[in-house]
Amino acid sequence: MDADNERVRKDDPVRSLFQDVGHLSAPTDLEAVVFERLSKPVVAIRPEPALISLNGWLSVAALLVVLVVAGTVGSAPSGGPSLVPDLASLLRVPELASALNSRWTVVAIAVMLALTTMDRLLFSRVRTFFAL
Amino acid sequence: MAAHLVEDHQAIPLAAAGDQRAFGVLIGRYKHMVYTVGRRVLRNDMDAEEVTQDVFVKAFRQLRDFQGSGKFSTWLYSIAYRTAISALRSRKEHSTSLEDLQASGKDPAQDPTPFNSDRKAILEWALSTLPAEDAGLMTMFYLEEMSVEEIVTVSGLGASNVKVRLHRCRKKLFEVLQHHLKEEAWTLTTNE
Repeated sequence: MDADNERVRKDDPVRSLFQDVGHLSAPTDLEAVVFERLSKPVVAIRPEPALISLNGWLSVAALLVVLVVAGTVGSAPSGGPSLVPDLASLLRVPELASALNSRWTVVAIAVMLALTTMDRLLFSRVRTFFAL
Repeated sequence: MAAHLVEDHQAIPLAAAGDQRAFGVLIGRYKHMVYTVGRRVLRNDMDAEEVTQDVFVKAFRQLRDFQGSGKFSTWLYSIAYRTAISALRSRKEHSTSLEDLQASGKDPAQDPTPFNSDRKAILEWALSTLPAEDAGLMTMFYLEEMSVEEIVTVSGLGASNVKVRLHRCRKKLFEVLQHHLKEEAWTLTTNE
């Protein structure tokens, strides 16, 4: 396209056609419709906060890491005092004692509690969001 | 003061401050321009009406952002063209109409050429042979007499893209209008 075509030429027959036809006619009630739409309150879209904030996720992740590390480092059944109530003797099942005394058990219970808490938290936020 | 005596630079600050009467002056002045670009891009009266309303509602709410460094008509045209293109894409996502299919590859030779139609019908028919977005560009170039630079600002397209499209569409329009333009020239000659 050369420099002459940067702007339409006055003697261009297609230009004459466009100019003769001019603009198309907008609806006569346009102003009224626009003002009616403008008079309606604007629905503000309020962004909902995240169900769990970034800090929340980081805390949960850190907790899980700590629990997993605590469960795996030196997790052999200990011969020391039990970390959980001595259910084995209460239930009269001797094999249960070594399982209950393991850190794995404590960690598993802690992880379960953490996940249950997180689940309840998420569900309560979902209920609020959908106003159930 | 009569509405037509109020200049844009007087009406814009008032409208930006929420004066609907001042904005009414701007609507009255530019509604046909906005409707024309909407109608040429969307090729449908109802959609064009809706887009025209959307454009003025958007313009009223964004009027404070208008810096006043450029022309108000260019700023408004930019909103109009982009809103129409957006509506066109949204419509295409929801359905592929027969009109769209025809517009993408219309053969002028197969078309019922409006020999005896008025100039408006001839122009609309010729524009319907172009892709919808380009019909808007042609309107900017020929009717609004915008320069390539202004079209670039309004459309958001690159300068080379605009030039290529204008060149291609002008060639196409000349081809499909050739017969009518020659006939008109012949009529004018014989009438003189």
